[in-house]
Parts: sequence; C-alpha cells; structure tokens
Amino acid sequence: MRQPGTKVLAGVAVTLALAGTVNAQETDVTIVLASEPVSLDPCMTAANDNGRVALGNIFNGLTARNPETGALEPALASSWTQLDGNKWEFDLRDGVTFHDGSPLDAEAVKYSIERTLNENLTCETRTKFFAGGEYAVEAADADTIVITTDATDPILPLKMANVMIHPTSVPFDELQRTAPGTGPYVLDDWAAGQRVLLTRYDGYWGETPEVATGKFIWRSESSVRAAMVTQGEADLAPSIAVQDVTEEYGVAYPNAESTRLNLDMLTPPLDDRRIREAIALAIDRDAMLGTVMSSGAEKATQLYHPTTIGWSDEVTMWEYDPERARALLDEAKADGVPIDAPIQFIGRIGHFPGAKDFHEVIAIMLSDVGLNVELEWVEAAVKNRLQVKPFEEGRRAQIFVDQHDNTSGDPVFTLPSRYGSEGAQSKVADPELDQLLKEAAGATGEARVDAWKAAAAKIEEILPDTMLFHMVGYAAIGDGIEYTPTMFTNSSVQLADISLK
Amino acid sequence: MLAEFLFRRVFYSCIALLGLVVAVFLLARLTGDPSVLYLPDTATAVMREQFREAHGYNDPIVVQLGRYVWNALHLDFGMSLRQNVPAMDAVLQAFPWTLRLAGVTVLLAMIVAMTIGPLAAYRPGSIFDRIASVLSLAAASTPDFWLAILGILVFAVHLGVLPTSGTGGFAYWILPIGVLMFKITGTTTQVVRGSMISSLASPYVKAARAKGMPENRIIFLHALRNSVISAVTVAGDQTRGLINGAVIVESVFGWPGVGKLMIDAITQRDFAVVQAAVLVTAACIFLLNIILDLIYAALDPRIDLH
Amino acid sequence: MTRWKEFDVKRGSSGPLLQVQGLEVEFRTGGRVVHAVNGIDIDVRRGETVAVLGESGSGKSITFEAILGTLDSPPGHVTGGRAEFEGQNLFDLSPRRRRAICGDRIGMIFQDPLSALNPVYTVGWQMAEMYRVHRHLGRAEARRQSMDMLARVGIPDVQRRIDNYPHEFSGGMRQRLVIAMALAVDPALVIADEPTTALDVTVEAQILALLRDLQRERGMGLILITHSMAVAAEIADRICVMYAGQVVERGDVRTLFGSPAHPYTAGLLHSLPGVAAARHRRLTPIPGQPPDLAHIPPGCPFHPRCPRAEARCRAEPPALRPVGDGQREAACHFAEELLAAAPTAQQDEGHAR
Ligand SMILES: Nc1ncnc2c1ncn2[C@@H]1O[C@H](COP(=O)(O)OP(=O)(O)O)[C@@H](O)[C@H]1O
Ligand SMILES: [Mg+2]
Repeated sequence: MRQPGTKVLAGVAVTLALAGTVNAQETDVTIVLASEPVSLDPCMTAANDNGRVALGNIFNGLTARNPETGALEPALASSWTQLDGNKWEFDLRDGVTFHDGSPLDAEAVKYSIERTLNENLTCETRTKFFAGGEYAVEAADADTIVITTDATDPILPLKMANVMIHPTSVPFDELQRTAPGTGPYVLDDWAAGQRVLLTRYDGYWGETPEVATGKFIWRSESSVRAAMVTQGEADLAPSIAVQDVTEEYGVAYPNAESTRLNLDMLTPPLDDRRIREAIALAIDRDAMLGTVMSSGAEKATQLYHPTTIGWSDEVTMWEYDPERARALLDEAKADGVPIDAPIQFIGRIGHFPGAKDFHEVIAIMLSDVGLNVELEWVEAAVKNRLQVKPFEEGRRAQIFVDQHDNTSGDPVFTLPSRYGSEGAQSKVADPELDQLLKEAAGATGEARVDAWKAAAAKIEEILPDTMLFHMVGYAAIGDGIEYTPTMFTNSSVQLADISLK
Repeated sequence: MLAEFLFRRVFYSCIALLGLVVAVFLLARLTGDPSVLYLPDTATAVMREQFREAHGYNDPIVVQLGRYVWNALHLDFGMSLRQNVPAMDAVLQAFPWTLRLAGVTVLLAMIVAMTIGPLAAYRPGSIFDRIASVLSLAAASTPDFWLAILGILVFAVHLGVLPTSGTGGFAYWILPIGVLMFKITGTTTQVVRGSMISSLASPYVKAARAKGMPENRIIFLHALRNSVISAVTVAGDQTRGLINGAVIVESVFGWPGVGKLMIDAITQRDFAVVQAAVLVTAACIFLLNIILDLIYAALDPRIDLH
Repeated sequence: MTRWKEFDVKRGSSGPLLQVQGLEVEFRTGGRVVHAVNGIDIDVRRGETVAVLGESGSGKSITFEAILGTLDSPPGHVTGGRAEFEGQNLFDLSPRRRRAICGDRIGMIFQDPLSALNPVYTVGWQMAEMYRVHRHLGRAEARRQSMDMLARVGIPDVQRRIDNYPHEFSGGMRQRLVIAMALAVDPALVIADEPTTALDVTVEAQILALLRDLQRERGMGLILITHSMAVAAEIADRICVMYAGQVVERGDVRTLFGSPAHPYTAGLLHSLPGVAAARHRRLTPIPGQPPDLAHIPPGCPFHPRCPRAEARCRAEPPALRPVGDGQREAACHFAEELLAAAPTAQQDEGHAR
C-alpha cells in the first residue's frame, strides 16, 4: 500500500501513524469492523457482527474460553459441578455488579438463561447453541444456580460460555438494542450507522483493562479498513483481505473457518460413493495453497479445528490422484451410473475473498477428471434456501462450497445438523451414524472424545462431502497497540486483550 | 391553478405510494420463507415454526398485507426485526445523511457543469472543448467503487490530506462528495454542452445575433436559459439516483445513509426496514418530481401544469 | 456596373445604402468545399425594395448572413468581396462594431417566426431588449416604446399581449412580432428572408402590405428574399435573380419580367404560362437539378439545364453585363438573342403585375 522510496509520502504516513500512537496514549482504541452490529441485545451475541462488539466487552457468561488454549475457564461462575447426568450446579462469583449497579445473583442468571431460551424471541444464542432440549433453571440460593436438562448435556458449561448474563430489568418478551451487562465496558453511545462507543466500567469484577474507551466503526471495504490502520485512523482491523496485508501492519491468524465441498448425495450421480471419492481425489489442494488459497491455510480432514475435542487424526487426508479418480468414474460408469449427468456447482457471490478463483479452479479440476460440472453463482439467501430442508424436488445434483466456524470447541455444534438424519441441512440419513452422534452428544470426558472420533470415522465411510481447508484470516494492527488475534477474534474482539504501547 | 396542480399530484403520489407499499410487501414475501432467511442454518424446524408464529408469517399473505397497510395508515411501519427499533426511526435517522450528501453533490455538480458545459459548447472542437469533453466522458463512465478506493489511496493514504472515510467535520465530506460528483458532473456537463451547442445553433440565437445582442447576453440569457431545462432534467435524474441511495459510496466511506441501511436490511431480510426505506425514498422522489415539475414550468413557459 | 447605378428608381434617393461586390462564401466541411456564394453584386438604396429571387439552395440566405455576420463559422467563411454599408466595409469592422450595426442600422426578418423567437422569454422582454441594448433605455421606457411598436405592426390588445410568450401567438401575429423587433430602432435597411413562406395566403398578403406600408412610412431600404415570383412582382422595385450562388440577371421588375434576358429567368417565367401565372404563386421547377455547389460545372453554371446551351457555355463562364436597352444586366452569352426571340411574354407579365 505504501510506495517504498517515496520519502515525503512515507514521512507523511509516519506522522499520521504517530498521530495514531498519540491517540493510543490517550488510552482510546478504534477498531474498524466489516459491518455494524445489528443488535447488542445480550441474547443476540452469537451472531458474529454483534458478538465482536458485545462479547466479553459488555457482557459475560458463566464460563469463558481461554483465547489461546481454548480451555474453558470460570467467568461469572467461579466453579461448576455435574450433580448427576442431567444436573449441573454453578457457583456464582462474589462481588459482581451489573452496569446499572444491581448485584449479580442467581435470579438474574436464571432470568438471563430463560430469556435466552424464550420462544417468543429469536435469540441467535438459542438457535445456534440450544437447538432442541429442555432446560429447567433454578436458583438454589442467591449464589448458586442449578440447571436440569431433559437429556444428558455433558457440554452444558461450554454452552454457558455463550449465554450472556443481564439483570432482571431487561424485558423478557422483547428484544432490546442493548442491556446492562457485567463486562469491563459499558455501551456509552451508539450512533446508528456511524459508531459504537464503549467506555470502561469502573465496577468491573476482573482486572481493570488498559484501554479506557473502545470505538467500534465499520467499513465494508477491506482496503479501506487496512488504510485506516496505516493512516492511524484506526488501531485494529480484525479482518482484512490478503491483498491488503502489509508487512508492517498485517498479521495472519487461524480464523476458525473451515471449508468443504458439500455434495448432494441424494441425487445421481453423486449418490454413488465412488463418484464422491473421485471428487475427493480430483482436488489438488497443494496446488490451491498459495494460489487461490492463502498459503497460511491448512488442509482439513474435518470441518472443525484440530483443537476441538474429538478431532480424529485417523481420517484420511485425500491426496491428489486424478488417475484413480478417473478409474473410479469409469468403474461407476460401467455399473450404469450416469457420470455425464450435469452437476450444478453453486457458488455464493462474494462468499470470501478470492472465492471466484477458488470456485473456478475447483470446477476445472472436477471437469478434468470427467465430471460434467457447471459453475453457477447465486446470492447468499438463495444458497441458504437451497441448503436447508426441504430440499428442492427434481433438482440436478448440486455441489456447494461451505464455510463453517466452530469456535465452541465441541463437534456437537457441527456434526448433528450436517450429518444427522434430523439435521436441518443434512442429506445423510444413516441410523448407525445417528446413533454415534447421539452417543457422542451425551458422553463426557474420554468417552466423548472417543465417540466423536467414531462418528468422524463413520462420516468418512459415508463420505457425504470433501474437506478442503482450515482458513486463515488477516488482521491489520496499528503501531499504538499490542493485540494477538486468535480463532475467537472473528466472533469477539475483547478490548481487555488489547494492550497499549 | 397551482393549488389544484399540487393537490392532484400529491393525491396521485399517495395512490402510487400505496401501490408501491403493496408491491414491495409482496416481493419481499416472495423472496422466500422469512424463517429460513432470518434464522441461522442451525435453527431447528420447531424454532422456525415458533418464529413464523411469533411474527405472524403463518397467516395468509392477504391478512399480513392488510395488517401492514392498516398499521402503516396509522404511521406504524413495524419494528426492525434485527435492530429492535421502529423501522421508520431507523430510516429517518439515515435519510438526512443521504439527503445532505445528495443535495450538496448535485448542487456542486450543477455549478461546475453549468460553467464548463457552456464554455465548451461555445467553441465546439476547441482545445478547451476537447479537454472538457474527454474529461466529462471519462468522469461519467468511471465506476464509483474504483474511484472511491482510488480517492482514499491518493488523498488519505499517499498524500495524507484527507481522512479515509467516516463522518465528522468538513474534511470528511470531501471524498464522498468528490466521488459522487464525478459521474454526475460528467454526465451533466455533457448534457449541458450538448444542449448548449444546439441552443447556440438554434434560429433564435441566430436571430438574437441579428438583433445585435452582445455575445455574453446571447450565451447567458438567450441560450443558457434553454439549456438549464435539460440540465435540470439530468440533475433531477441524478438526484433521484442519489436519494435511492449512493450505496457504493455510502458503504465504502461508512456513510450512515439510507442506501447502506437498505442494502444491509435486504441482506438481513429485515423487511420492515426495507419497506420503510422504500416508502420514504419513494415519497421523497415523488416530492422531488413535483418540485421539478414546478421548476420546469417556471423555466419553460410552454409547459402547462395541467 | 456604372449603368446600374444610373438607374432612376421611383422612391430611391441618391447613393446606395448597401453595396455588395464580389461576395464569396464557402462552407468547408470535412475536406468538402461548398461554394455557396460566388461573387455576388447587389445594391440597395434608401427607400427602395429589392427582391432577391432564386430556387431554394441558390445562396440567398447565406449572402445576407455573411453580410450581417451571423454565418455559422466554422464551417462558413467569407472568402472574398466587400459589403459597404453607409460608406464602411462591414468586413473591415471589428466583430463588436459589426454586431452593433446589426439590429440598430440593419434589421432582419426571418422566414420562420416561431423558431426565431426565444421560447422562454415574453415578447415584451424580447422587444424591450432592442431598446435597452441599442438605445440604452430604462425598463419602463423600453416597455412603453415596445408597446407602441407592437401596436404599429397590428398586435391587438398590446397591454395584455406584451407579457405573453411566443407560442401563445398565431403564425401571422408572430411574424408581426418579428417585424416589430426588426424595425424597433428604425434601421436604415431591413432584410426580410422569405417572410411569408411559412404563412398561409391571406396572411401573406397582410404581412406584405404591412411591410410595404412600413417601408414607405420610414423610407428604409428593403431587401426581400423570396422564391415566389408573385411576391417579388407585387412588392419589388428591382429584381435580382440568383442561381448557384451567382446573380444571373437583374433589373427593373417590369423590364425583367416582361422580357427575360437569361434562360433561367425565362425558364422561371415560362413554367408559369399565360394568365395562370397570377394564380400559381410558387415557381414551378425547371427540369433538372440545381448544381452541387461543391462541384459547380465549368463555364455557365446553368448550362446542364439550359435549352440553349452550346459548346461555348460549357467552357466560358458568362459575365454579368448590361444587355438590351441597358436597363438590366444578365449573365448569358446569348442574352441578346433571347431578348429578340420573346416579345409576347412582356404582356403576360403585365397582367400579373
Ligand atoms: N452550414 C452549411 N454547411 C454547408 N453548406 C451549407 C451550409 N449552409 C448552407 N449551405 C450551402 O449553401 C447553399 C445556399 O444556402 P441558402 O443561402 O440557405 O439557400 P437559399 O437560397 O435557399 O436561402 C445551400 O445549398 C447549401 O449547399
Ligand atoms: Mg433561405
């Protein structure tokens, strides 16, 4: 972005960068996001646009995940225990107050959980983390809360990291612009369309963060976000495109997104496993890395990161083998599989930076082994509709590129909806797999790890899709601050993690 | 007569607005099941059903429409499904930003076009005319997006004289207006030049010369007055375009206008906001059309308001 | 030339008001050169009416645009000749001084009054600017004089009509408006370019009568451009016949129509045989087409259409020279033969006049 050798310009840029530093010394930080939060209601933080601003800044959950290790740590709950299979007890931290001055107590927690699960509200947190299941919440005493589930829920503490706690003054049946929380920052001002201003909350229960005010703004263009950091207008742009990365300000980090080719295994010719295996063999992942895919990305065997519990190292990493792919297709053809049947390869317009080349290269690779692939581009909403049940009747076979992020640390938020026979976007209906998924979802400890591994093996056997990559993101970080983006950065930018130089 | 004209126009505009509201409502519903579009893909069928029930999407479409129109007549345009504020509030907050941007842009563009256009037209084919024509053609066909990014790179990043984007003092207006002006000034200059050339070649200008009128009187009174009409037509079109939302410029510069709001609302399937935005922009465009008609009538006596 | 000046004209005063000599105008467009006017001589005296007659495209309008300086330039250029008006060569003047003479000393009346009037200003405004620019009068006085002039040209209800726009008037009324503007500041010379072509017959007669009355009243010189022989015969003292940007014949109206000395004039007259001439108001075309002005044939420009053409006509351009009794000039090698051969036409034309 900056032209080397143009000293005057560089001088100007340095001056402006210094301006940014001055800004930072005043302990104000400006963060430029790609989009404005839609709502800062505590139960809407599961949507990334909202979570980036609100999670861990305005609100806390009972638990929280360590940004570096991914381990579950105490937050508003100082400890928790599983009383029996269906019962969990959480002890609340002492001396926590909400931004409105009221103290944190079991009533507030009970109210927060119940409001999040309220059927009259369309809470992102409920739809994302609490699909199915009954939860009865009781305040055992002022500092203790007991949650009873209808079925065993071994990862309830993990789920509780996503339920934001607020006082009982928040209306139960009505979504809010925002609400008081317990986080280190208070929403000071939200000028719609322009900025969200968070200021430090003096009564915060944890360590006082360095940053006094955090200003969140948004620009749709990655190049503008990057320029704002180089110009000192912003201190942090958590997500920029690879072409806007500069040596001085750019940082790569795993952004928790993983991609796969979602194959329509209900429609010929994709209903034949040999065809699906041929597709897995037809993709030259190594050639894609560093060309249509950032070289920082990693080849994937499962749709969640290796840090996720139950990630299996026994799933095949498919190697590029077009000869074998063609042989499989010939074999299938000999058995009467219509391998010439047209396959719609459906791309979503503007899915991710570089998506166009990404799709085109894949289409070429698939055609190369002899599949009749037609690349088509649709709007996000159209793709969403096509991918959710009920599926279109009488369709041609479809292939989608899916991107999925599971930062929760547990495959339960990935596998059942995609591979279970009840899953909203699942084309798999395998009783054996259903059983494995159900077991895994109900298991704890080592048993849970093993059960997820077994499910992963079964999925490989069925082969409903072709795994591609764990993606990387890039952040632009200004001179005035220190910040290490993690796989959580995409869903929450915590001002407390920012330190000033 | 004027009162009658105004009454008639406002009356028809209201009918058109009502039609528009119905059309947008139906179109929005045609794009699919709101529960699929609105809820994340992990939501279960039960959740989707609950959502539809809670928001009345299970009622027959006519019932939904009737409810919407009835509420709209009571100035209740529904809540933004996403933002949890009245949809109309969100729109009315964004609209002035767009209006101001559009107003200043069109005004400046008109001033530039009305200066360069006649000068270029006065001696067609002269060096000045050729430079003006090439530049205005280039300006008229430069893509906004590209120009916006280039403007930021040049003026904010390399020269460091302007902020990259955002809102604030005077400096923040320069790039967005500059980018928006480019195309409008180019187009308007070309139209003014063209109509000025034909005005200057028209028999009444020849007649004015034969009458011995001085040249500046001929250009600025006889010819320009006729070209102003076509300039107003283009400027009107451009303003309509801008009121509809300078989407690209608003997005790139983080300008909190109605174009950005509308695009966001469409991608988020926030129907109430989309409808309110369409309603307000359409009402504003109807108003603009009435004002334009009045300006035409004032500029051209041959136009009859009936 | 000298003979022409010695003519005794009925209402004419002494020296010529406008004397055009050898005027040449070219249009240069994309490598093509159109010779629209090729060495024209025309004189007008005070109080005299000269009709300039010719087929459409013969260069009548361009001649007077060149003189007034309203030629579209480019592509039009005056490439030769002089135009002396009240003793000074208009082509020597600065554009500003020349413009000052327009309207003030020379008034112009156009063929299509609607397009000659600015549609977006009231007639009062357009009238008043004559007084304001040329006479430097104030608003009120300019308006008062405008009303007088409009009343003089026969606009009814001037008090009210003065604030109307051109489109609110009928064709005849519009031509009256244009006449009022041309005559507003009492010019010495008025050029009327086909002032009645766009009007119907009854209105035409009224406008011609108005022009004649005004001319008599003010003693101005009047040049009437027309392609109608009837109009020329009705109003002119002298006639000047143009063909392909040249004057082919000129002289006293009676003489010229009585016995044309140029086959082109004769052709124009013969195409209106006998008494029928009185009713046929427009020229019936002579067989053939006028020449392409970018490629005017060598010799006499009329030879391709001329029944009398001989080898000499194709080679040698005839000069405009006095013929017959010396009351007229013609540009034809056979002018004398023609005069001798057509004695009867004079009587026919006598009726028509
Ligand atoms: N702008 C122009 N460009 C080229 N040629 C022109 C232009 N104006 C007039 N002419 C030529 O000059 C000739 C004379 O035109 P004009 O004087 O208007 O004829 P008329 O005798 O009918 O008034 C036309 O035949 C035409 O060829
Ligand atoms: Mg003419």
